[in-house]
Amino acid sequence: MNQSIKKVTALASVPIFAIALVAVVSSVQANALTTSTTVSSAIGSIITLLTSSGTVNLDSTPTGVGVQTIASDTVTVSTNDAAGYTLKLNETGAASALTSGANTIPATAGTFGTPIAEVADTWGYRVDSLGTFGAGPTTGGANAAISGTIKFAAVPATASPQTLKTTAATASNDTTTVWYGVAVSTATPSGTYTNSVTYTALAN
Amino acid sequence: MVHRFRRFIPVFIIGLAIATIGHTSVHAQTATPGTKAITVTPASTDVAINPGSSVARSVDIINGGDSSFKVTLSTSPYHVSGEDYDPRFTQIPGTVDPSEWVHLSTTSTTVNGSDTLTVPYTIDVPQNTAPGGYYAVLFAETSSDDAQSGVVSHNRVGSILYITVNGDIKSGGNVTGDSLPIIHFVGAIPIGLKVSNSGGTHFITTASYSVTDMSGKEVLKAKFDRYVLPQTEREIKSGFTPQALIGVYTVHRSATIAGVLKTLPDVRIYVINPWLLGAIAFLIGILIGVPIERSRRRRRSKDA
Repeated sequence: MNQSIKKVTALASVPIFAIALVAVVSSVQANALTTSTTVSSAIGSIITLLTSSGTVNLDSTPTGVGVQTIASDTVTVSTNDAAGYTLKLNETGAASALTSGANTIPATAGTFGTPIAEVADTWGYRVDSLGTFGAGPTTGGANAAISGTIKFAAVPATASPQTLKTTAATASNDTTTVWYGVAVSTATPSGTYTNSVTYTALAN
Repeated sequence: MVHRFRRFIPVFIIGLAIATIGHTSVHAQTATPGTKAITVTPASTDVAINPGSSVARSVDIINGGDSSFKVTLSTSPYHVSGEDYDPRFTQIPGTVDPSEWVHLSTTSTTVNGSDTLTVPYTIDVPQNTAPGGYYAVLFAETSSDDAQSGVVSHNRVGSILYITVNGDIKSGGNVTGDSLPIIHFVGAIPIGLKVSNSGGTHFITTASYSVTDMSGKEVLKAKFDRYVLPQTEREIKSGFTPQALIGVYTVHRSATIAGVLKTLPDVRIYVINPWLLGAIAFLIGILIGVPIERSRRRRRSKDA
């Protein structure tokens, strides 16, 4: 009889011990400390512009009837502004002609609204498939016969930049090819002729 | 001896190829000297200032190339033209020029290759300035020092300043949807809307588009945040290209006006691909034509 009582007592202590153990664990868990951290990252807005070379060379060897040299500039824009960007072109200064000392090669009479094929001793720009320039495709080359089909316009004045491209989303190395052409005959004195243009990129 | 030399020719060729490949370096796409890769950040800044007060801000000019370049900093008025928001840098006649409020710590400096230059500036609003929105742009422009002949490019990037002069400013505006077709056959459907601002300062509108099919499943969802300047209307475009040959789609459009949501009426578009239309017409033609032809033949044989 006493042994039976001892056995029952021993067996009964197991669940009691288990209950006590659970109570202790729960108590420890209830008293545990938690904390949280917020991770944030502010992404700044940027806009980047670069050009393929900085200077577009239009070196030419004229003839009596005139030759045409065409070369391109690649403008690359990147922005993380979700509204995209606008790219514009204008003369940097007041001069619209290619200038070498006192000598000039005037801008073509063509405009963005009405571009024209170049005539001898003029220069201009074009962008394939923009406005009424035509699809082209324009190819670069030196001292070729003056094209009667590829049309050019004068680079717009400083106060009236021309929009070359408008986008509506972020851009990563988005390129625009701007072609420059000069047509010269022996009426143009020899020299190193230059003109400065400004590309402007702005988020929308 | 010549024969012995010939045996080594393939080895020589392979060795030359390995040497060539080994010396070929892969260049990361960085700007080459003379390209003047210029970055400005932030691309825009939104500030609210009391009349007669100043705020200090800064822009970072980043030279992404290897060589240093000179940079010229300047400010201009900023406004937009047309619904497509073509930016303009001239002053609207009869208005205040807020670019004169911007005072740069420097207007000409040099940025070294792969370097960042921080340019502080202040916006000093005159005391008697009327409350409302005023807009300017801060430009950073490179110049080319190595010009020789031809067309020399200057690269200019702008950071737009959206300035609100605090005070009693009216706000308001409207949303109108671009008209949508009832029946559409092929290609993308433009589903834009226009947000107008009749208030005295700018707000950011959130234009939302959603297209659901006949079962209510959403097949397009798009959201755009755009600035809308006072007394202007801005078109915010989106598009939807139906994938099914036939279907009925509902276009849902909305935009916020100074924080208040305005929803346009839903528009239902019936889409049917012309090829499917042609196939149906052909089937109908067969279903009608065959019995008619049979009936005609029976009549002929009876007459005969």
